[in-house]
Amino acid sequence: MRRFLARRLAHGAAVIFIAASLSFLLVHLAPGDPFSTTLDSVSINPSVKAAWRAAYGLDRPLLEQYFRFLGQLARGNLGPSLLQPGPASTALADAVPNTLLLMGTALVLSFVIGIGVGSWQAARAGSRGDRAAGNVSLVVASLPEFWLAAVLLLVFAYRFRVFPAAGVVDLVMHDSLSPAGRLLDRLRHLALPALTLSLLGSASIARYQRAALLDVLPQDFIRTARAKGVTDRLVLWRHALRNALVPTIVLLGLSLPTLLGGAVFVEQVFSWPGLGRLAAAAFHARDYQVVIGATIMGAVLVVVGGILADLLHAAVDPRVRAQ
Amino acid sequence: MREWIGPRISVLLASTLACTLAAAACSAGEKQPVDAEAVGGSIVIAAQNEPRTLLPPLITQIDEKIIADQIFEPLAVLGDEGHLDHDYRPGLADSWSWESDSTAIVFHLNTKARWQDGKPVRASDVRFTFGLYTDSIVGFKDRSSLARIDSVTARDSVTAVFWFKNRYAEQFYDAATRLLIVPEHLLAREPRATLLTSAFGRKPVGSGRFRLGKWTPNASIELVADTANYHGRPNLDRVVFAVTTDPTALPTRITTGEIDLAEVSSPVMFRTLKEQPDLRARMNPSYDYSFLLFNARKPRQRQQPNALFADIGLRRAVSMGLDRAKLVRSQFDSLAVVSTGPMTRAQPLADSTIATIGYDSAGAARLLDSLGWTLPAGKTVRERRGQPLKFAVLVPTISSNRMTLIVAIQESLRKLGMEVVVDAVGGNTFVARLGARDFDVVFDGRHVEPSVAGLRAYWSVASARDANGLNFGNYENPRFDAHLDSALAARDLASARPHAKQAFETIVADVPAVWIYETRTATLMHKRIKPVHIVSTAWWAGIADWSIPAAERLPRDRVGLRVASR
Amino acid sequence: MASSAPDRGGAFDRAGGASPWRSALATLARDRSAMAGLAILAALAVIALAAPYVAPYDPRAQPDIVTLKYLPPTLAHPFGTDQLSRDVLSRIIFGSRVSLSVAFLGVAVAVTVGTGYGAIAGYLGGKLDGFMMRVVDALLSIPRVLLLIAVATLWNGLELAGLVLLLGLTGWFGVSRLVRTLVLSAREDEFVTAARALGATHTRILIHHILPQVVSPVLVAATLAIGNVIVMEAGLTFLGMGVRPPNASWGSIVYDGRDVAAAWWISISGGAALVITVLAVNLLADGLREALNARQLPAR
Repeated sequence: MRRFLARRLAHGAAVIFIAASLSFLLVHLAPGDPFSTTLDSVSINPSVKAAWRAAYGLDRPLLEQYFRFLGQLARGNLGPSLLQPGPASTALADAVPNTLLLMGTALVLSFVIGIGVGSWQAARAGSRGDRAAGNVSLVVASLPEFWLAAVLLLVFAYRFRVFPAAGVVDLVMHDSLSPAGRLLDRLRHLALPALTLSLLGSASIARYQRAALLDVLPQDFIRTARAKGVTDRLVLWRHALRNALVPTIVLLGLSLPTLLGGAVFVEQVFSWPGLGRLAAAAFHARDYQVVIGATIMGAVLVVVGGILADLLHAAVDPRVRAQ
Repeated sequence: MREWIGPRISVLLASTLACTLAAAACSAGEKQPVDAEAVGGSIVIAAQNEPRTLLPPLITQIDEKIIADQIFEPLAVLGDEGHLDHDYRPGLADSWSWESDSTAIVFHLNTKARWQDGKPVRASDVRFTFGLYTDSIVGFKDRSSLARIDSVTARDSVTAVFWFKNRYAEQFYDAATRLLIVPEHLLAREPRATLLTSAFGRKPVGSGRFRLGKWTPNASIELVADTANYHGRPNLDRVVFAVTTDPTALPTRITTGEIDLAEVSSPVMFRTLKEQPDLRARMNPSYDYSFLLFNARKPRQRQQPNALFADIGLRRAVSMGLDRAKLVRSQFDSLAVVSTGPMTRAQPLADSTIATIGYDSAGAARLLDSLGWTLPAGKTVRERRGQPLKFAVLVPTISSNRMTLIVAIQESLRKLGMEVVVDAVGGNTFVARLGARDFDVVFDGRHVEPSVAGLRAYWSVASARDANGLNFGNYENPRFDAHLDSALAARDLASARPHAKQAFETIVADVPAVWIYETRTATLMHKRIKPVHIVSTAWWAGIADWSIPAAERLPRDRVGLRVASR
Repeated sequence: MASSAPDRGGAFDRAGGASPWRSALATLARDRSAMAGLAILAALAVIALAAPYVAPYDPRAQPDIVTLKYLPPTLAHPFGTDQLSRDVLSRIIFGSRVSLSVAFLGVAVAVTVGTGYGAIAGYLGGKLDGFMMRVVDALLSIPRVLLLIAVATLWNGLELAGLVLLLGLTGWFGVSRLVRTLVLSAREDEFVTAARALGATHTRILIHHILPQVVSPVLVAATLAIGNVIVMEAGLTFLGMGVRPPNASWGSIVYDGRDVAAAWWISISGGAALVITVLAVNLLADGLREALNARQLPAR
């Protein structure tokens, strides 16, 4: 187990290293130097610009810049941000927890919904209900994330005022609520964005779960359990689910990059101050440092999530632990 | 029930207004009588962008200005009517006088004036602030507007003197309103080159009636009432600025009541939101105009004339080919009018009677033919000596109005045989290219002030020749400069007016740009808010005196102050 | 020609003497949803190609920007008009050209690069293969949207060609992994060993014996990718960084309609075009997967 973890950690570190190197490469391949648009606005004094360029070693040979970049990255220094003056890492540090909250909730929701619907479908495979759910799944899986978000915002926040339209907490009242009230406030604001983000994933998980269950159900040990007189319900939930859960959990790790991608759009529509919204704002402001930082941060999130998913997989599936 | 509430509100309103006006009229610095009924309330204002810094000389965005105007104070505040030459209310200074044949203004600071950290406000703060604003390293955006102030001295701890190079109509406006006074004791030791990233910009300390409460990045900025303020506490408990960058979210948040107040410039949003029974709309006078600026020189350099637009005939043809009235009405309904020159109608010296180029597409076609731009058989784009009439227009993506209008303009000019390419770029790139004069035509927008002094920075010969100057289109006409100088040197607005008119006539006749629209914004606010002191240039100037009647309060208004100071 | 392929079942089963492709097509033809998907895509392709003849109006025409703007759907304008009085239906029809061609070309770039990379890695095997796949794993870990935003920020003013390249160059990672797995197993086949014994060069083996087996799974993956890329491009345009005026894709139409709660028909029609296309693509891809029996592909 420890060897497994060590291997995964090493793998993860390699991934982050490659992602960072790619970012460095991109910044230096791009036209202009990294500060050319953030600093070349009319009102900034030329001596200030020169000082910043020198401080970031932009006049050094490329290889030296590369190592300096990696060193600073290891220390968490991503350079200055002009979008929110101050270190880019501060802006990212503020945004990441919000994205984690959103993605974490969406992940859990999509699995709960997906496994639930998939199991429900498998239990009545071939029936009208199964086919109807399958069609709905397919349609939902085909919806563009940003469009779905905009539609849900219009319906649930604008038309029927069920949920708030934006933000993480109520801007005025939050601090004065009781702890229970504050929790409820946070949940109310989290509900719609998390639901939107989870829908796309839950559709594919449902399909996967259904297929996985249908593979497992005819297998020998299920028949044995049935022969032993175990009732249908119990058979399904205990034995089949346990086995079918495994490939679905593998999907958990694989779905992280897509989920983060979807989060970019959901955060934009719901004004959720997370990593995706920051990246989009940094794009409009041509804030290179924040955009690069967001890309690397995204890779880090995916890697960490993947490792956690692998641990979960190993916990559930004894065959993995034996490796 | 309704009759009972009605008179009560109007009595409340009247008494609040009366108290406010009375306090303003007498320039003694006594604390305003606080009407206990009016105290309380929280309003949420929409901010379109996340502010970068709240340090006054570094402010570039309107959201930053609105917030900074609550935290800091100028020496005096422009009166509601916007009369530049005579109508002001006390700010940090409670009285002032003229000296030395009107080349010096003496400001007497309110002796009770305190910074929000308790230290007293001194004349040395005023002198320090002036030094900061005029320092080229700090890079205040409108530094040229302070150019006619020679220096600021501190005669004693509560008297600051502004010395001018000569007399002109807007002396008082420049001295009293342009500087938001900042505390020397907190900023003196900050290195000037990196002020943008200084901590003060995120945790400002001013003398205004609101303090910074909590700043949640990318979400909200909360200002709380400064209860110990020497002017007296504001009526409202807090003002929260909610950062709303996504346009879909803004009308939704207003409709659901999450946001109480927003400045709206999109006519469709305005039309839908105006219908809401809970909202009141207020039109603000226009201080913004947009125009298609031609570059008289080749992009990025100053030596050679522009291949296309050095020719006044072509510029005139483009202007004649655009039905500006229709463009403006289509895009804005009632929220904009056709611009007539580098000014807006709200400016006291503006003159909209000046002759302008009207829409005449047939005339434009004839003019183009006479210039040699003819339409070869079977082609849609005019040519002259084998060169097609094709050019790019630089447009900033941040302005959705201009992004939509350019498509309509593109189509109109296509019918005239011109091929227009839209060069849409983001904010910083746009600013960079503008400064580098890297364009043939740019769809620029400008914010003006009541004073026309800003014209010099944007249209003078000196500014054209200065590589860092703001005369991006390289417009040079010494006669315009002369008329403008005469206007600015006049002693009062009445004698400035004929010179200003001649200046405007000169520049409009030169067609350096096609003046497209003057836009006004509408402020939509929740009906329970009772606004006062809506200054024409800044609807937000009097927020400290706004109130919410007790009977109309929402749950968020009843959240007291004590909790918020966490 | 692959003649003595070992029995893999499904379409490549030579029992009955039918050619593998024909029986695959027959299976596909029996799948009604896949056929529906194919029909929709074929119709879209026809509409895109024949746009000037199909569209009721010129998509750039602005008849009257004051009185005819934001008209709700009527018979004359089935999808209404937009803020410049342009007919939305015509804009959608012409927009299909941009959306479909960007997606198609982007996927073509991705498939080409991915197949090349994966084939080389799988064929060469060993340490080099391990390293190449590590790099691909790393690239797969970077969320694609963030990478797209990063490149769009760095390369200012991305035109359509640049957008196609960008979408293609960020989409080849999955294909390369797939191809590499297939090539790795195909490398061990008897006929490959035989061919090598007969003195065939590596290139010839790769192209004539191995790649044909890669075609069907890659085809399924490519079909799915088209749907992904259409949505990705629309999403980028929605964020303001994809297709820009005067070009208009479906994403541009949704973007134009985004701040108007009153003119819902603009974003709904743009979104509907996207949904229908992606749905059709998914149905077709599902059918293809069944017909070609390429079960080792990840489910959508």
